[in-house]
Amino acid sequence: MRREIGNNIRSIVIVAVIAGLLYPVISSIMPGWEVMLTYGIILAIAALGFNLLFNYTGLLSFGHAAFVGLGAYAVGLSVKYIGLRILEVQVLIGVLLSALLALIVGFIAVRYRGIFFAILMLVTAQILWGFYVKFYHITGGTDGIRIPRPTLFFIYDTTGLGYHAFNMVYHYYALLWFTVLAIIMWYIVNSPFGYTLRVIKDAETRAVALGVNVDRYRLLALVISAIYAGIAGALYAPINRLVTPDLAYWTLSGKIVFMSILGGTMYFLGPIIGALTYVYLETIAQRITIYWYLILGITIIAIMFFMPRGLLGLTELEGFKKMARLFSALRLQFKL
Amino acid sequence: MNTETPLLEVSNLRKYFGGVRAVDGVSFRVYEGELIFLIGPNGAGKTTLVNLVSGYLKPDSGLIAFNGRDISRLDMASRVKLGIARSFQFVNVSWSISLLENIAIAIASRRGINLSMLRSLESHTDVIEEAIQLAKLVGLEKNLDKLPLEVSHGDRKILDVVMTLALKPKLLLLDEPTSGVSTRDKFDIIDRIVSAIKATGISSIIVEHDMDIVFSYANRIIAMHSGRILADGPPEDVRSREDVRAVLLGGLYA
Repeated sequence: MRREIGNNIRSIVIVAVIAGLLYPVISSIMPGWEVMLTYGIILAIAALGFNLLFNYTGLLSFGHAAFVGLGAYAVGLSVKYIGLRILEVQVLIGVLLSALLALIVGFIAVRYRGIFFAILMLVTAQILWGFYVKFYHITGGTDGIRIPRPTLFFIYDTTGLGYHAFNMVYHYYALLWFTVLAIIMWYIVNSPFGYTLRVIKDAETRAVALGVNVDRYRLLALVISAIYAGIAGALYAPINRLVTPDLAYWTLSGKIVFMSILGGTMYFLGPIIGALTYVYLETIAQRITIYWYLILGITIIAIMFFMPRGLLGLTELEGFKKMARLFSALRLQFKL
Repeated sequence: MNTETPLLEVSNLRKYFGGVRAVDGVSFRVYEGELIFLIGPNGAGKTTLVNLVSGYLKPDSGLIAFNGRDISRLDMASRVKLGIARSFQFVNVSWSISLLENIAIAIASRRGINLSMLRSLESHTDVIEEAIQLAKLVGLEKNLDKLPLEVSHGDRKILDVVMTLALKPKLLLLDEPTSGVSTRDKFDIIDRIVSAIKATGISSIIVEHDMDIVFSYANRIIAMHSGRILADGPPEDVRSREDVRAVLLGGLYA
Protein backbone atom coordinates (compact mmCIF):
# COMPACT_ATOMS: atom_id res chain seq x y z
CA MET A 1 0.00 0.00 0.00
CA ARG A 2 2.82 2.36 0.80
CA ARG A 3 5.99 2.49 -1.22
CA GLU A 4 5.12 0.04 -3.96
CA ILE A 5 5.06 1.73 -7.35
CA GLY A 6 1.76 1.82 -9.17
CA ASN A 7 -0.31 0.01 -6.58
CA ASN A 8 -3.34 2.16 -7.21
CA ILE A 9 -6.33 2.34 -9.53
CA ARG A 10 -4.94 5.37 -11.33
CA SER A 11 -1.95 3.34 -12.52
CA ILE A 12 -4.23 0.58 -13.81
CA VAL A 13 -6.17 3.14 -15.81
CA ILE A 14 -2.93 4.69 -17.10
CA VAL A 15 -1.69 1.28 -18.30
CA ALA A 16 -5.05 0.63 -19.97
CA VAL A 17 -5.03 4.03 -21.69
CA ILE A 18 -1.46 3.49 -22.92
CA ALA A 19 -2.38 0.01 -24.20
CA GLY A 20 -5.33 1.63 -25.97
CA LEU A 21 -3.32 4.46 -27.52
CA LEU A 22 -0.39 2.26 -28.53
CA TYR A 23 -2.55 -0.01 -30.67
CA PRO A 24 -3.09 2.35 -33.64
CA VAL A 25 0.50 3.62 -33.28
CA ILE A 26 2.04 0.15 -33.49
CA SER A 27 -0.29 -0.96 -36.27
CA SER A 28 0.75 2.02 -38.37
CA ILE A 29 4.50 1.91 -37.80
CA MET A 30 4.97 -1.86 -37.34
CA PRO A 31 1.94 -3.55 -38.93
CA GLY A 32 1.30 -7.01 -37.55
CA TRP A 33 2.86 -6.28 -34.17
CA GLU A 34 -0.25 -4.67 -32.73
CA VAL A 35 -2.10 -7.93 -32.16
CA MET A 36 0.52 -8.97 -29.59
CA LEU A 37 -0.74 -6.11 -27.47
CA THR A 38 -4.15 -7.79 -27.37
CA TYR A 39 -2.59 -11.12 -26.44
CA GLY A 40 -0.58 -9.35 -23.74
CA ILE A 41 -3.64 -7.70 -22.25
CA ILE A 42 -5.49 -11.03 -22.18
CA LEU A 43 -2.58 -12.95 -20.68
CA ALA A 44 -2.16 -10.18 -18.11
CA ILE A 45 -5.59 -11.18 -16.74
CA ALA A 46 -4.34 -14.75 -16.23
CA ALA A 47 -1.08 -13.50 -14.69
CA LEU A 48 -3.03 -11.28 -12.28
CA GLY A 49 -4.88 -14.39 -11.16
CA PHE A 50 -1.64 -16.32 -10.85
CA ASN A 51 -0.07 -13.61 -8.73
CA LEU A 52 -3.01 -13.51 -6.29
CA LEU A 53 -1.93 -17.03 -5.40
CA PHE A 54 1.81 -16.56 -5.72
CA ASN A 55 2.62 -13.18 -4.22
CA TYR A 56 -0.30 -12.71 -1.88
CA THR A 57 -1.15 -16.25 -0.73
CA GLY A 58 2.27 -17.89 -1.08
CA LEU A 59 1.10 -20.70 -3.37
CA LEU A 60 3.02 -21.41 -6.58
CA SER A 61 0.70 -22.82 -9.22
CA PHE A 62 2.43 -24.60 -12.06
CA GLY A 63 -0.85 -25.45 -13.71
CA HIS A 64 -2.74 -22.27 -14.44
CA ALA A 65 -3.01 -23.39 -18.05
CA ALA A 66 -5.68 -25.81 -16.75
CA PHE A 67 -8.00 -22.86 -16.20
CA VAL A 68 -6.91 -20.95 -19.30
CA GLY A 69 -7.58 -24.10 -21.34
CA LEU A 70 -10.94 -24.64 -19.69
CA GLY A 71 -12.00 -21.07 -20.47
CA ALA A 72 -10.88 -21.44 -24.10
CA TYR A 73 -12.58 -24.82 -24.55
CA ALA A 74 -15.75 -23.42 -22.96
CA VAL A 75 -15.84 -21.05 -25.93
CA GLY A 76 -14.76 -23.72 -28.42
CA LEU A 77 -17.13 -26.48 -27.33
CA SER A 78 -20.10 -24.15 -26.82
CA VAL A 79 -19.76 -22.82 -30.35
CA LYS A 80 -19.12 -26.28 -31.82
CA TYR A 81 -22.01 -28.08 -30.16
CA ILE A 82 -24.70 -25.50 -29.44
CA GLY A 83 -23.67 -22.75 -31.81
CA LEU A 84 -23.31 -20.26 -28.97
CA ARG A 85 -21.48 -17.14 -30.08
CA ILE A 86 -22.41 -14.57 -27.46
CA LEU A 87 -18.98 -14.14 -25.91
CA GLU A 88 -20.14 -12.88 -22.51
CA VAL A 89 -22.23 -16.03 -22.02
CA GLN A 90 -19.28 -18.16 -23.12
CA VAL A 91 -17.02 -16.32 -20.68
CA LEU A 92 -19.58 -17.04 -17.96
CA ILE A 93 -19.49 -20.76 -18.80
CA GLY A 94 -15.68 -20.63 -18.64
CA VAL A 95 -15.87 -18.89 -15.27
CA LEU A 96 -18.23 -21.50 -13.85
CA LEU A 97 -16.14 -24.41 -15.14
CA SER A 98 -12.88 -22.88 -13.86
CA ALA A 99 -14.39 -22.19 -10.47
CA LEU A 100 -15.76 -25.73 -10.30
CA LEU A 101 -12.41 -27.25 -11.24
CA ALA A 102 -10.65 -25.02 -8.68
CA LEU A 103 -13.09 -26.16 -5.99
CA ILE A 104 -12.55 -29.83 -6.80
CA VAL A 105 -8.75 -29.67 -7.12
CA GLY A 106 -8.44 -27.11 -4.36
CA PHE A 107 -10.32 -29.27 -1.90
CA ILE A 108 -7.24 -31.48 -1.87
CA ALA A 109 -4.51 -29.12 -3.10
CA VAL A 110 -4.86 -26.33 -0.53
CA ARG A 111 -3.83 -28.75 2.21
CA TYR A 112 -0.41 -28.91 0.57
CA ARG A 113 2.31 -26.29 0.33
CA GLY A 114 5.27 -25.51 -1.87
CA ILE A 115 6.27 -28.05 -4.46
CA PHE A 116 3.38 -30.42 -3.67
CA PHE A 117 0.81 -27.76 -4.46
CA ALA A 118 2.71 -26.78 -7.61
CA ILE A 119 2.84 -30.39 -8.82
CA LEU A 120 -0.84 -31.07 -8.05
CA MET A 121 -1.77 -28.09 -10.20
CA LEU A 122 0.61 -29.20 -12.95
CA VAL A 123 -0.90 -32.69 -12.95
CA THR A 124 -4.41 -31.22 -13.18
CA ALA A 125 -3.47 -29.22 -16.26
CA GLN A 126 -1.72 -32.19 -17.88
CA ILE A 127 -4.76 -34.44 -17.35
CA LEU A 128 -6.97 -31.88 -19.09
CA TRP A 129 -4.39 -31.51 -21.86
CA GLY A 130 -4.44 -35.27 -22.33
CA PHE A 131 -8.21 -35.16 -22.54
CA TYR A 132 -8.20 -32.45 -25.22
CA VAL A 133 -5.61 -34.37 -27.27
CA LYS A 134 -7.03 -37.87 -26.94
CA PHE A 135 -10.77 -37.26 -27.09
CA TYR A 136 -10.45 -36.31 -30.72
CA HIS A 137 -14.11 -36.85 -31.60
CA ILE A 138 -15.18 -34.32 -28.98
CA THR A 139 -12.37 -31.79 -28.94
CA GLY A 140 -10.88 -32.12 -32.38
CA GLY A 141 -7.60 -33.28 -30.84
CA THR A 142 -4.51 -31.33 -31.81
CA ASP A 143 -6.37 -29.82 -34.79
CA GLY A 144 -8.39 -27.94 -32.22
CA ILE A 145 -11.65 -26.11 -32.71
CA ARG A 146 -12.02 -23.19 -35.09
CA ILE A 147 -13.64 -20.18 -33.45
CA PRO A 148 -15.94 -18.04 -35.62
CA ARG A 149 -16.33 -14.33 -34.96
CA PRO A 150 -18.16 -13.76 -31.68
CA THR A 151 -21.12 -11.57 -30.87
CA LEU A 152 -20.09 -8.91 -28.35
CA PHE A 153 -22.35 -7.32 -25.73
CA PHE A 154 -25.18 -9.68 -26.85
CA ILE A 155 -25.98 -7.53 -29.91
CA TYR A 156 -22.82 -6.62 -31.76
CA ASP A 157 -22.12 -9.33 -34.35
CA THR A 158 -18.51 -9.02 -35.53
CA THR A 159 -18.89 -11.48 -38.44
CA GLY A 160 -18.91 -8.79 -41.11
CA LEU A 161 -15.76 -7.05 -39.93
CA GLY A 162 -12.53 -7.28 -41.90
CA TYR A 163 -9.39 -8.79 -40.38
CA HIS A 164 -7.89 -5.53 -39.09
CA ALA A 165 -11.21 -4.02 -38.06
CA PHE A 166 -12.06 -7.07 -35.97
CA ASN A 167 -8.63 -7.12 -34.33
CA MET A 168 -9.00 -3.49 -33.41
CA VAL A 169 -12.53 -3.82 -32.06
CA TYR A 170 -11.49 -6.90 -30.14
CA HIS A 171 -8.46 -5.15 -28.67
CA TYR A 172 -10.61 -2.50 -27.05
CA TYR A 173 -13.15 -5.12 -26.00
CA ALA A 174 -10.41 -7.12 -24.25
CA LEU A 175 -9.01 -3.93 -22.79
CA LEU A 176 -12.37 -3.23 -21.19
CA TRP A 177 -12.36 -6.67 -19.54
CA PHE A 178 -8.79 -6.16 -18.45
CA THR A 179 -9.45 -2.78 -16.88
CA VAL A 180 -12.50 -3.93 -14.95
CA LEU A 181 -10.82 -7.16 -13.78
CA ALA A 182 -7.57 -5.42 -12.80
CA ILE A 183 -9.50 -2.86 -10.72
CA ILE A 184 -11.46 -5.65 -9.01
CA MET A 185 -8.19 -7.48 -8.34
CA TRP A 186 -6.73 -4.29 -6.88
CA TYR A 187 -9.61 -4.14 -4.43
CA ILE A 188 -9.19 -7.82 -3.59
CA VAL A 189 -5.47 -7.62 -2.79
CA ASN A 190 -5.86 -4.42 -0.79
CA SER A 191 -8.98 -5.53 1.10
CA PRO A 192 -9.03 -7.16 4.53
CA PHE A 193 -9.23 -10.45 2.61
CA GLY A 194 -6.05 -9.65 0.66
CA TYR A 195 -4.19 -8.70 3.83
CA THR A 196 -5.39 -11.88 5.53
CA LEU A 197 -3.84 -13.79 2.62
CA ARG A 198 -0.54 -11.99 3.22
CA VAL A 199 -0.59 -13.02 6.88
CA ILE A 200 -1.25 -16.60 5.78
CA LYS A 201 1.71 -16.40 3.40
CA ASP A 202 4.18 -14.83 5.83
CA ALA A 203 3.08 -16.36 9.13
CA GLU A 204 0.61 -19.19 8.79
CA THR A 205 0.48 -20.04 12.50
CA ARG A 206 -0.22 -16.39 13.26
CA ALA A 207 -3.16 -16.48 10.86
CA VAL A 208 -4.48 -19.55 12.71
CA ALA A 209 -3.88 -17.74 16.02
CA LEU A 210 -6.04 -14.90 14.71
CA GLY A 211 -8.86 -17.38 14.23
CA VAL A 212 -8.49 -17.63 10.45
CA ASN A 213 -9.49 -20.87 8.75
CA VAL A 214 -6.38 -20.97 6.57
CA ASP A 215 -7.46 -23.69 4.14
CA ARG A 216 -10.75 -21.97 3.42
CA TYR A 217 -8.95 -18.72 2.53
CA ARG A 218 -6.49 -20.59 0.34
CA LEU A 219 -9.36 -22.29 -1.46
CA LEU A 220 -11.14 -19.00 -2.02
CA ALA A 221 -7.94 -17.42 -3.37
CA LEU A 222 -7.50 -20.39 -5.72
CA VAL A 223 -11.08 -20.07 -7.01
CA ILE A 224 -10.68 -16.33 -7.69
CA SER A 225 -7.33 -16.99 -9.33
CA ALA A 226 -8.86 -19.73 -11.49
CA ILE A 227 -11.72 -17.48 -12.55
CA TYR A 228 -9.22 -14.88 -13.79
CA ALA A 229 -7.31 -17.51 -15.76
CA GLY A 230 -10.61 -18.90 -17.11
CA ILE A 231 -11.74 -15.49 -18.34
CA ALA A 232 -8.33 -14.99 -19.98
CA GLY A 233 -8.74 -18.35 -21.75
CA ALA A 234 -12.21 -17.48 -23.00
CA LEU A 235 -11.06 -14.09 -24.29
CA TYR A 236 -8.02 -15.71 -25.91
CA ALA A 237 -10.10 -17.97 -28.15
CA PRO A 238 -11.68 -15.43 -30.56
CA ILE A 239 -8.46 -13.47 -31.18
CA ASN A 240 -6.49 -16.69 -31.69
CA ARG A 241 -9.34 -17.95 -33.92
CA LEU A 242 -8.45 -21.47 -32.87
CA VAL A 243 -8.57 -23.40 -29.60
CA THR A 244 -5.94 -26.12 -29.31
CA PRO A 245 -4.66 -28.33 -26.47
CA ASP A 246 -1.57 -26.05 -26.29
CA LEU A 247 -3.70 -23.74 -24.16
CA ALA A 248 -3.71 -26.35 -21.40
CA TYR A 249 -0.12 -27.47 -21.87
CA TRP A 250 2.50 -27.00 -19.16
CA THR A 251 4.49 -24.56 -21.29
CA LEU A 252 1.63 -22.07 -21.02
CA SER A 253 1.59 -22.54 -17.24
CA GLY A 254 5.33 -21.85 -17.34
CA LYS A 255 4.81 -18.74 -19.46
CA ILE A 256 2.36 -17.34 -16.89
CA VAL A 257 4.98 -17.87 -14.17
CA PHE A 258 7.62 -16.32 -16.45
CA MET A 259 5.51 -13.22 -17.14
CA SER A 260 4.87 -12.61 -13.47
CA ILE A 261 8.55 -12.94 -12.57
CA LEU A 262 9.57 -10.80 -15.55
CA GLY A 263 7.35 -7.93 -14.42
CA GLY A 264 8.02 -8.45 -10.72
CA THR A 265 5.73 -10.59 -8.59
CA MET A 266 6.17 -8.27 -5.62
CA TYR A 267 4.29 -5.53 -7.41
CA PHE A 268 0.61 -5.35 -8.19
CA LEU A 269 1.43 -4.13 -11.70
CA GLY A 270 4.21 -6.71 -12.11
CA PRO A 271 2.21 -9.44 -13.87
CA ILE A 272 0.60 -6.84 -16.15
CA ILE A 273 3.88 -5.26 -17.24
CA GLY A 274 5.37 -8.76 -17.42
CA ALA A 275 2.65 -10.11 -19.71
CA LEU A 276 2.85 -7.12 -22.07
CA THR A 277 6.64 -7.38 -22.23
CA TYR A 278 6.63 -11.14 -22.58
CA VAL A 279 4.49 -11.34 -25.71
CA TYR A 280 6.90 -9.02 -27.52
CA LEU A 281 9.96 -10.75 -26.11
CA GLU A 282 8.64 -14.08 -27.34
CA THR A 283 7.79 -12.72 -30.78
CA ILE A 284 11.20 -11.11 -31.17
CA ALA A 285 12.94 -14.29 -29.98
CA GLN A 286 10.92 -16.35 -32.46
CA ARG A 287 11.90 -14.04 -35.32
CA ILE A 288 15.58 -14.24 -34.42
CA THR A 289 15.99 -17.99 -34.16
CA ILE A 290 14.14 -21.30 -34.08
CA TYR A 291 15.92 -21.88 -30.78
CA TRP A 292 13.85 -19.12 -29.23
CA TYR A 293 13.23 -21.07 -26.04
CA LEU A 294 16.96 -20.71 -25.43
CA ILE A 295 16.66 -16.92 -25.52
CA LEU A 296 13.73 -17.01 -23.11
CA GLY A 297 15.64 -19.38 -20.83
CA ILE A 298 18.70 -17.15 -20.73
CA THR A 299 16.44 -14.16 -20.11
CA ILE A 300 14.79 -15.75 -17.09
CA ILE A 301 18.15 -16.82 -15.66
CA ALA A 302 19.45 -13.28 -16.12
CA ILE A 303 16.37 -11.89 -14.37
CA MET A 304 16.76 -14.26 -11.44
CA PHE A 305 20.40 -13.27 -11.01
CA PHE A 306 20.47 -9.59 -11.82
CA MET A 307 16.99 -8.30 -11.14
CA PRO A 308 15.06 -10.72 -8.94
CA ARG A 309 12.41 -8.06 -8.43
CA GLY A 310 11.68 -8.01 -12.15
CA LEU A 311 11.25 -5.02 -14.45
CA LEU A 312 9.37 -3.00 -11.87
CA GLY A 313 12.23 -3.61 -9.45
CA LEU A 314 14.21 -1.20 -11.64
CA THR A 315 12.03 1.62 -10.33
CA GLU A 316 13.72 1.21 -6.97
CA LEU A 317 17.12 2.09 -8.40
CA GLU A 318 18.51 5.47 -7.41
CA GLY A 319 18.73 6.65 -11.04
CA PHE A 320 15.06 6.00 -11.62
CA LYS A 321 14.12 7.78 -8.41
CA LYS A 322 16.18 10.81 -9.48
CA MET A 323 14.40 10.86 -12.82
CA ALA A 324 11.04 10.58 -11.09
CA ARG A 325 11.95 13.52 -8.84
CA LEU A 326 13.08 15.55 -11.85
CA PHE A 327 9.85 14.69 -13.64
CA SER A 328 7.68 15.82 -10.76
CA ALA A 329 9.75 18.98 -10.37
CA LEU A 330 9.20 19.76 -14.06
CA ARG A 331 5.53 19.02 -13.65
CA LEU A 332 5.32 21.52 -10.80
CA GLN A 333 7.34 24.08 -12.75
CA PHE A 334 5.01 23.96 -15.72
CA LYS A 335 1.90 23.43 -13.61
CA LEU A 336 0.90 20.30 -15.51
CA MET B 1 -9.71 -19.62 47.70
CA ASN B 2 -12.09 -18.27 45.07
CA THR B 3 -15.56 -19.80 44.77
CA GLU B 4 -16.66 -18.36 41.40
CA THR B 5 -16.31 -20.45 38.21
CA PRO B 6 -12.71 -20.21 37.11
CA LEU B 7 -12.04 -18.68 33.69
CA LEU B 8 -9.67 -21.51 32.92
CA GLU B 9 -9.48 -24.84 34.64
CA VAL B 10 -6.74 -27.24 33.66
CA SER B 11 -6.87 -30.65 35.27
CA ASN B 12 -4.37 -33.45 35.12
CA LEU B 13 -3.09 -32.39 31.69
CA ARG B 14 -0.55 -34.66 30.01
CA LYS B 15 1.46 -34.39 26.82
CA TYR B 16 4.33 -36.75 26.04
CA PHE B 17 6.66 -36.50 23.06
CA GLY B 18 7.90 -40.08 22.79
CA GLY B 19 9.64 -40.64 26.11
CA VAL B 20 9.74 -36.96 27.01
CA ARG B 21 7.10 -36.02 29.54
CA ALA B 22 6.71 -32.41 28.43
CA VAL B 23 3.59 -31.81 30.48
CA ASP B 24 2.97 -34.45 33.09
CA GLY B 25 -0.20 -34.14 35.13
CA VAL B 26 -0.62 -30.38 35.40
CA SER B 27 -3.62 -28.84 37.17
CA PHE B 28 -4.36 -25.20 37.94
CA ARG B 29 -7.11 -22.61 37.79
CA VAL B 30 -7.11 -19.09 36.45
CA TYR B 31 -9.63 -16.54 37.64
CA GLU B 32 -10.84 -13.34 36.02
CA GLY B 33 -8.27 -10.53 36.10
CA GLU B 34 -5.29 -12.58 37.24
CA LEU B 35 -1.79 -11.82 35.99
CA ILE B 36 0.19 -15.02 36.21
CA PHE B 37 3.83 -15.53 35.37
CA LEU B 38 4.82 -19.02 34.30
CA ILE B 39 8.44 -19.79 35.12
CA GLY B 40 10.77 -22.74 34.95
CA PRO B 41 14.08 -23.82 33.44
CA ASN B 42 14.44 -24.70 29.75
CA GLY B 43 12.49 -27.86 28.94
CA ALA B 44 10.17 -27.50 31.93
CA GLY B 45 7.13 -27.66 29.65
CA LYS B 46 6.06 -24.02 29.72
CA THR B 47 5.69 -23.58 25.97
CA THR B 48 4.01 -26.98 25.65
CA LEU B 49 1.50 -25.88 28.27
CA VAL B 50 0.80 -22.68 26.34
CA ASN B 51 0.45 -24.76 23.16
CA LEU B 52 -2.01 -27.09 24.86
CA VAL B 53 -4.16 -24.31 26.32
CA SER B 54 -4.18 -22.33 23.05
CA GLY B 55 -5.04 -25.43 21.02
CA TYR B 56 -1.83 -25.51 19.00
CA LEU B 57 -1.30 -29.02 20.38
CA LYS B 58 -3.82 -31.62 21.54
CA PRO B 59 -3.27 -33.16 25.00
CA ASP B 60 -2.72 -36.90 25.46
CA SER B 61 -5.04 -36.81 28.45
CA GLY B 62 -6.55 -34.39 30.90
CA LEU B 63 -9.12 -31.66 30.69
CA ILE B 64 -9.07 -28.00 29.75
CA ALA B 65 -12.22 -26.12 30.67
CA PHE B 66 -12.85 -22.53 29.66
CA ASN B 67 -15.70 -20.74 31.42
CA GLY B 68 -16.87 -24.14 32.59
CA ARG B 69 -16.92 -25.63 29.09
CA ASP B 70 -14.61 -28.48 28.02
CA ILE B 71 -12.45 -27.20 25.18
CA SER B 72 -9.72 -29.90 25.22
CA ARG B 73 -10.65 -31.10 21.71
CA LEU B 74 -11.36 -27.74 20.04
CA ASP B 75 -8.93 -26.47 17.41
CA MET B 76 -6.99 -23.25 17.76
CA ALA B 77 -9.28 -21.11 15.60
CA SER B 78 -12.37 -22.10 17.62
CA ARG B 79 -10.57 -21.33 20.88
CA VAL B 80 -9.65 -17.91 19.52
CA LYS B 81 -13.34 -17.28 18.89
CA LEU B 82 -14.13 -18.29 22.49
CA GLY B 83 -11.54 -15.79 23.73
CA ILE B 84 -8.20 -17.53 24.18
CA ALA B 85 -5.44 -15.72 22.31
CA ARG B 86 -1.71 -16.28 22.29
CA SER B 87 1.49 -14.68 21.12
CA PHE B 88 4.61 -16.50 20.04
CA GLN B 89 8.07 -16.99 21.43
CA PHE B 90 9.50 -16.01 18.06
CA VAL B 91 8.04 -12.97 16.35
CA ASN B 92 5.29 -14.31 14.13
CA VAL B 93 3.87 -11.48 12.03
CA SER B 94 3.50 -10.68 8.35
CA TRP B 95 6.82 -9.26 7.16
CA SER B 96 5.47 -7.77 3.95
CA ILE B 97 2.95 -5.40 5.51
CA SER B 98 3.31 -2.47 7.92
CA LEU B 99 2.86 -2.63 11.68
CA LEU B 100 -0.44 -0.79 11.32
CA GLU B 101 -1.69 -3.27 8.73
CA ASN B 102 -0.66 -6.18 10.92
CA ILE B 103 -2.65 -4.81 13.85
CA ALA B 104 -5.57 -3.84 11.62
CA ILE B 105 -5.86 -7.34 10.19
CA ALA B 106 -6.02 -8.78 13.70
CA ILE B 107 -8.85 -6.36 14.49
CA ALA B 108 -10.56 -7.22 11.19
CA SER B 109 -10.33 -10.86 12.13
CA ARG B 110 -12.00 -10.24 15.51
CA ARG B 111 -14.74 -8.23 13.84
CA GLY B 112 -15.26 -11.00 11.32
CA ILE B 113 -14.71 -8.75 8.30
CA ASN B 114 -11.63 -10.36 6.83
CA LEU B 115 -13.63 -11.96 4.09
CA SER B 116 -14.56 -8.47 2.95
CA MET B 117 -13.06 -8.19 -0.53
CA LEU B 118 -14.30 -5.21 -2.44
CA ARG B 119 -13.23 -2.45 -0.05
CA SER B 120 -9.64 -1.61 0.76
CA LEU B 121 -8.41 -2.18 4.30
CA GLU B 122 -7.37 1.47 4.36
CA SER B 123 -10.97 2.58 3.83
CA HIS B 124 -12.18 0.66 6.90
CA THR B 125 -11.45 3.76 8.97
CA ASP B 126 -12.99 2.35 12.16
CA VAL B 127 -10.55 -0.58 12.05
CA ILE B 128 -7.57 1.68 11.33
CA GLU B 129 -8.64 4.05 14.12
CA GLU B 130 -8.88 1.17 16.61
CA ALA B 131 -5.45 -0.09 15.50
CA ILE B 132 -3.92 3.33 16.16
CA GLN B 133 -5.56 3.54 19.59
CA LEU B 134 -4.26 0.10 20.47
CA ALA B 135 -0.77 1.02 19.29
CA LYS B 136 -0.85 4.11 21.50
CA LEU B 137 -1.68 1.93 24.48
CA VAL B 138 1.73 0.23 24.16
CA GLY B 139 3.66 3.17 22.76
CA LEU B 140 3.99 1.78 19.25
CA GLU B 141 2.36 4.71 17.46
CA LYS B 142 5.57 6.21 16.04
CA ASN B 143 6.57 3.49 13.59
CA LEU B 144 3.17 2.32 12.44
CA ASP B 145 3.85 2.73 8.74
CA LYS B 146 7.14 0.83 8.87
CA LEU B 147 7.61 -2.81 7.97
CA PRO B 148 8.37 -5.18 10.89
CA LEU B 149 11.98 -5.56 9.72
CA GLU B 150 12.50 -1.80 9.86
CA VAL B 151 11.77 -1.45 13.58
CA SER B 152 13.66 -2.62 16.65
CA HIS B 153 13.34 -6.18 17.88
CA GLY B 154 11.60 -4.87 20.97
CA ASP B 155 8.96 -3.15 18.87
CA ARG B 156 8.47 -6.37 16.92
CA LYS B 157 7.87 -8.25 20.16
CA ILE B 158 5.38 -5.55 21.19
CA LEU B 159 3.69 -5.86 17.78
CA ASP B 160 3.32 -9.59 18.34
CA VAL B 161 1.59 -8.93 21.66
CA VAL B 162 -0.59 -6.13 20.27
CA MET B 163 -1.88 -8.43 17.52
CA THR B 164 -2.97 -10.78 20.28
CA LEU B 165 -4.53 -7.96 22.35
CA ALA B 166 -6.39 -6.81 19.23
CA LEU B 167 -8.46 -9.98 19.44
CA LYS B 168 -9.84 -8.70 22.79
CA PRO B 169 -9.41 -12.11 24.39
CA LYS B 170 -10.67 -13.13 27.81
CA LEU B 171 -7.47 -15.06 28.39
CA LEU B 172 -4.12 -13.95 27.04
CA LEU B 173 -1.18 -16.34 26.74
CA LEU B 174 2.17 -14.67 26.10
CA ASP B 175 5.07 -16.98 25.36
CA GLU B 176 8.25 -15.13 26.37
CA PRO B 177 7.33 -11.61 25.24
CA THR B 178 10.87 -10.43 26.04
CA SER B 179 12.86 -13.26 24.44
CA GLY B 180 15.76 -11.95 22.38
CA VAL B 181 15.40 -8.44 23.78
CA SER B 182 18.51 -6.94 25.37
CA THR B 183 18.56 -6.80 29.17
CA ARG B 184 18.57 -3.02 28.98
CA ASP B 185 15.27 -2.91 27.05
CA LYS B 186 13.53 -5.81 28.74
CA PHE B 187 11.97 -3.79 31.53
CA ASP B 188 10.70 -1.17 29.13
CA ILE B 189 9.06 -3.82 26.94
CA ILE B 190 7.43 -5.75 29.76
CA ASP B 191 6.34 -2.51 31.38
CA ARG B 192 4.47 -1.46 28.24
CA ILE B 193 2.92 -4.90 27.89
CA VAL B 194 1.86 -5.22 31.52
CA SER B 195 0.38 -1.74 31.66
CA ALA B 196 -1.63 -2.50 28.51
CA ILE B 197 -2.84 -5.73 30.07
CA LYS B 198 -3.80 -3.93 33.25
CA ALA B 199 -5.56 -1.19 31.28
CA THR B 200 -7.66 -3.79 29.49
CA GLY B 201 -8.11 -6.06 32.52
CA ILE B 202 -7.46 -9.25 30.56
CA SER B 203 -6.48 -12.37 32.53
CA SER B 204 -3.01 -13.31 31.39
CA ILE B 205 -0.42 -16.03 31.63
CA ILE B 206 3.06 -14.82 30.72
CA VAL B 207 6.01 -17.15 30.22
CA GLU B 208 9.14 -15.35 31.39
CA HIS B 209 12.74 -16.24 32.20
CA ASP B 210 13.92 -13.04 33.81
CA MET B 211 13.34 -13.39 37.57
CA ASP B 212 13.73 -9.66 38.19
CA ILE B 213 10.81 -9.05 35.87
CA VAL B 214 8.75 -11.87 37.31
CA PHE B 215 9.11 -10.73 40.90
CA SER B 216 8.42 -7.10 40.03
CA TYR B 217 5.19 -7.69 38.13
CA ALA B 218 3.55 -10.96 39.15
CA ASN B 219 0.48 -11.32 41.35
CA ARG B 220 0.87 -15.05 41.10
CA ILE B 221 3.64 -17.33 39.93
CA ILE B 222 3.41 -20.85 38.60
CA ALA B 223 6.81 -22.57 38.65
CA MET B 224 7.25 -25.64 36.45
CA HIS B 225 9.95 -28.27 36.42
CA SER B 226 10.13 -31.45 34.32
CA GLY B 227 6.53 -31.16 33.18
CA ARG B 228 5.08 -30.71 36.64
CA ILE B 229 4.01 -27.74 38.70
CA LEU B 230 6.54 -27.21 41.44
CA ALA B 231 4.94 -24.23 43.11
CA ASP B 232 1.89 -22.06 42.52
CA GLY B 233 1.14 -18.97 44.55
CA PRO B 234 1.97 -15.35 45.37
CA PRO B 235 5.57 -14.26 44.54
CA GLU B 236 6.76 -14.17 48.16
CA ASP B 237 5.55 -17.75 48.79
CA VAL B 238 7.13 -19.09 45.63
CA ARG B 239 10.35 -17.25 46.31
CA SER B 240 10.72 -18.73 49.78
CA ARG B 241 10.30 -22.32 48.60
CA GLU B 242 13.54 -24.28 48.87
CA ASP B 243 12.86 -26.54 45.84
CA VAL B 244 12.07 -23.56 43.59
CA ARG B 245 15.24 -21.85 44.69
CA ALA B 246 17.22 -24.95 43.90
CA VAL B 247 15.78 -25.40 40.41
CA LEU B 248 15.43 -21.80 39.35
CA LEU B 249 16.79 -19.10 41.53
CA GLY B 250 19.86 -20.70 42.96
CA GLY B 251 20.54 -22.81 39.93
CA LEU B 252 20.32 -21.41 36.43
CA TYR B 253 19.21 -17.94 37.47
CA ALA B 254 21.53 -17.12 40.29
